[in-house]
Amino acid sequence: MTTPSGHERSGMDSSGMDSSGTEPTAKDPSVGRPPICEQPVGEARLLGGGAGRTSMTRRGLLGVGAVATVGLVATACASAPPEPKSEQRNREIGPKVTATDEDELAVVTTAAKLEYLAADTYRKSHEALDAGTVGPVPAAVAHYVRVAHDQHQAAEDRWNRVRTDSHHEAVNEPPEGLPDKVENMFSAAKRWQDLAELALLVEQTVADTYLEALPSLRSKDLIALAGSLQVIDQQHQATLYFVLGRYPVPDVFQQTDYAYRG
Amino acid sequence: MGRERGQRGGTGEASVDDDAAACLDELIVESRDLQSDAMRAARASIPDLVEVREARRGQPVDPSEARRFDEGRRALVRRLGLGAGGAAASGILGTTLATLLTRPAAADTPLDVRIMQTASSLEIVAINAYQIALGLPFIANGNPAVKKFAQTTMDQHSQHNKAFQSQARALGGPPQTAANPKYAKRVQQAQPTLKALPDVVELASTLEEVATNTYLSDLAMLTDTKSRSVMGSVMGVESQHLATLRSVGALLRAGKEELVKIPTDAVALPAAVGSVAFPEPFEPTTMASPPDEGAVR
Repeated sequence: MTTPSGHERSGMDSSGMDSSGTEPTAKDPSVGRPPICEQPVGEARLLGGGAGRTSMTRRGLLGVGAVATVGLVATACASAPPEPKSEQRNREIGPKVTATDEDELAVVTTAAKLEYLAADTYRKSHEALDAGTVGPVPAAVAHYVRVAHDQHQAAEDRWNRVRTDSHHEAVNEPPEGLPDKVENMFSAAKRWQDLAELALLVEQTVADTYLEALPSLRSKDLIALAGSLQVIDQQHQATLYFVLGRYPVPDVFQQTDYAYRG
Repeated sequence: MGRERGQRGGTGEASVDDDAAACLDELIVESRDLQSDAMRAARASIPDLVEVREARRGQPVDPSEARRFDEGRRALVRRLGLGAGGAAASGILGTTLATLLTRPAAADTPLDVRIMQTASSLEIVAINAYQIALGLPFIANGNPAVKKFAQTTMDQHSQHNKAFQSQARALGGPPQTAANPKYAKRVQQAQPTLKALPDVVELASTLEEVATNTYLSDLAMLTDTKSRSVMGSVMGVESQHLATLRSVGALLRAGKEELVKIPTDAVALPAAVGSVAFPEPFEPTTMASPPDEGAVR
């Protein structure tokens, strides 16, 4: 199965991993490389001892990142048959959705910028993990960073598609006021836990912003899109809480404390 | 009208002009003819209407269609002056007509209320399911993190139910106090098969996914913005219940139950735990329950 962002899950059973708990492999359809298969070593490999590193680009992080990823390595894996291009494109594009007025367009714009910020944060995080600047990184964390990046990239693309379908240009910048805060936290990060806390903050900001926007949206399609992404971002948080050693569902009701308000 | 042509009033004096009486009689005859024709046409159309009913049976109400219908009737009430304070609102006929026209479409219960009721019904199923789970020996005496999750989640669902019930009342409808019939049956059927922790996790995952998908689907159907906020707020938490269960299920299937704990050993976690909780970049509504599924009957 291939996600709209091009990440293909292969070598995994229905649980998401094979019985040895090994590294999921990736295939980037756009690059056309085969799945990566390595022999199991039975223990975590520290960052820096792995295969050759590649430079990251904002897109397709998962496709090139798998080689340099730390962690329990994969056994020989079987890849799922590639999804037809037409199906990929249909799911990537989705139905045409437009903003009905300037207020809704403002929400769409904010959403696109927040997703840009999230994707960029994960991209930089992965580069830091890959460069070893935050020390050893658990396999689950490295894998999370790659998948989260791809998902936020897909979300950014979707919101920008709404903008272009509404006859406006796509946005490729973060919202005002947040980049400095993110950069400060990023610069201060010494361990993977620091980057995970940064990611948690970004996810809370995006998720809470979607929740806060729901009452003001009138288009059913935009409500559905915002809600859909709110779910994913809440689930990102649950995983981050878990790897950080905290209870994954801390709230009875999701709040809007972290919502971005310009 | 029952009065014969030429009948006089009680005073004995001529109260209706003969020409006017003749006109009135003609109008009465014409009216009866029109009614006969109308009844004949109505009877002839009944088979077609039955066909339409059968074709639409079981189909969910189109919320936008229901909303337009309701708005159309309210607009008609205003135009006819049947609304509050309207000149035509007085009298039995006016009052009756106003009541008929202002009654919401689709089973006389607004869609938003039915959505809240169905949400409550799903929460009640979840509460019952976690209660059953906590009564199982391998949960009650098993993994402490799992037991804590079951207890906490049950409590959270209880509060979600109260919020949905409160919102149903706020919208003018009765709260739902019964479990969703479809999923209550599913839990009942699953109960004898709950032999080990993975069985419970699988059942709970299904219920949480139904709730998440249903609430996501509901967001776009709700017209009341406060209700939408409540729904979104609860949906955010159900999402995390689902994410947690997916992660736990994956660890169990990989034979890593020892990592189901808080705090966990992050270094020992299999890589795929980093993404198993969110298999898609956009949450679908595949398992969403329709608004009427758990509505008060």
